[in-house]
Amino acid sequence: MRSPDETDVERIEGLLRGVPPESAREAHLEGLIRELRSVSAHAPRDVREHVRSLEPPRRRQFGWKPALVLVPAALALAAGIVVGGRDSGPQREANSGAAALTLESSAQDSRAAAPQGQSFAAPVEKTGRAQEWDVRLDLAVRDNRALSDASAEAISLTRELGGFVVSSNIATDGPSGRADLVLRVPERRVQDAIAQLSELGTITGQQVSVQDRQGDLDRLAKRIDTLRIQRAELNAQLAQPGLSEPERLRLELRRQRVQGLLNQLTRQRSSVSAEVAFAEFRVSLATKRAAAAPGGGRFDDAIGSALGVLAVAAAAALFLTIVLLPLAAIAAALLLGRRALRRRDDERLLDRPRPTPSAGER
Amino acid sequence: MTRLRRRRDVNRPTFAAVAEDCLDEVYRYLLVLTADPALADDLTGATFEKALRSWRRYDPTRAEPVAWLCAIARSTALDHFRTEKRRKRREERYAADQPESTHTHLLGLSPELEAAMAELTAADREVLALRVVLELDAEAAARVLGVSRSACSMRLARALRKLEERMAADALA
Repeated sequence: MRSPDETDVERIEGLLRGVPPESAREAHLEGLIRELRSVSAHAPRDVREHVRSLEPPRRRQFGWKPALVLVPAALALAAGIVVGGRDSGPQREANSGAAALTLESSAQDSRAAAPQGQSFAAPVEKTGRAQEWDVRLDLAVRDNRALSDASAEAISLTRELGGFVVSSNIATDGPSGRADLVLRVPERRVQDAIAQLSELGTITGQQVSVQDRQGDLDRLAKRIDTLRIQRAELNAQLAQPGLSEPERLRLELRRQRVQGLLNQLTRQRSSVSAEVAFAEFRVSLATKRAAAAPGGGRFDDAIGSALGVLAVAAAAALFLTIVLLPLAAIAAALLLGRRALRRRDDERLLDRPRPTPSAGER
Repeated sequence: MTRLRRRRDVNRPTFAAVAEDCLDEVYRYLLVLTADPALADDLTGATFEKALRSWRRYDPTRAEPVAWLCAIARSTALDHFRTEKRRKRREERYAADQPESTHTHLLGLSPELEAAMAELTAADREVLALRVVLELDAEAAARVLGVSRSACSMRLARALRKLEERMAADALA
């Protein structure tokens, strides 16, 4: 069964739609509705003129929404350029240095000095002379895994080239690590070794020194030859019959000294020959975060750095979301509560004939 | 999305046309709500200024222009009432009470009906303005008031009953 109020509401809705009244009260209500509908108040002329004079606000060419994407992207790119420029500055210099790696030569032999700007890729001139090579290579790799791989590759390369490892020291500490290798490579494979070891990472420093030892070897050979002749002459003198005992003893002692000196010089020559036969490589590998691949352009570096910055920003945003989510829920609850209070306040405000306090109400 | 918006823009009336069509209705609504012609004038101007600023957000598929404008007018009026309430509370400590201005024949109705209307609360007058004077349907009026459709109908029935009672009381007096 419907309540009187419900019936009332339905009838009033009907009267508003034009349904004929069924009782005297409904006829009275219909009269009220008709009279109220006859209200024909018009907005005063000045209000109408004011509204007509309103001009639409100047439409912005682009709204604020594209800025939500463009501004962070531009900031990330700018940060990438700054960070990339700072990080890749010395590295780039090193790379360009790699391209223009000079061969430092000792002052002893000006013929071994390569011209400035000679690169690793350029063939080192073969002189046919005995030269002692010392090469230092400082390389940067991306992370510890790359460090381990590059170290293993360097050792493997050395063995493939017929050389050997003098010492190897690899150490890691958290995300960073370092490997120091001392390698010996046959002199005839120096060019191959330089080229292949340089590809194991980004070159951050390098030094190649070449010392000519041919003069030393020539001097030693000449001295050895002289001593051998002396030894042969002494042997011949000792073989002559009729030598007095003191004379024989004197020749014997002299031959022993010559033999001793000969042995010493021969060992010295062997040592020099060994030194020139193998070039020494001191390879230092170190991890470097966000190290760019060799040969990447500045724009690539900037894009890479920008992506890195965006990744960090995304991680920070995720972290903040997790942290701020409960706070956001509280804020939403407060907002809803405030809205409910405001609605109640509105109802209270309108629940009087004149919404603002009148003189009589004070 | 862009095409949809463009199509919507094609069917969209201009603000000037909407203002011209709805100005009197918005004014009537504010006049009945405030029962103060001067205030209704001010609030009407403020309403259309506000409406112009948010015109780009108006979606014709969601509400009739007059309902959309009445919602803005209601919000403008409530903001004004709140501000006035605070101001008068401050002033009442320092200023002498000023006699309340009384307006008669605001709406061009019979004196009895005008008197009975003046005794109704603003909330009652508001629902009468929307449903009867402006002839908005229950759905649109409920959206303006921020209540359900049945609550809106119930509020209208109550307002009409009060109006009848006031008129009957005035007749007896």
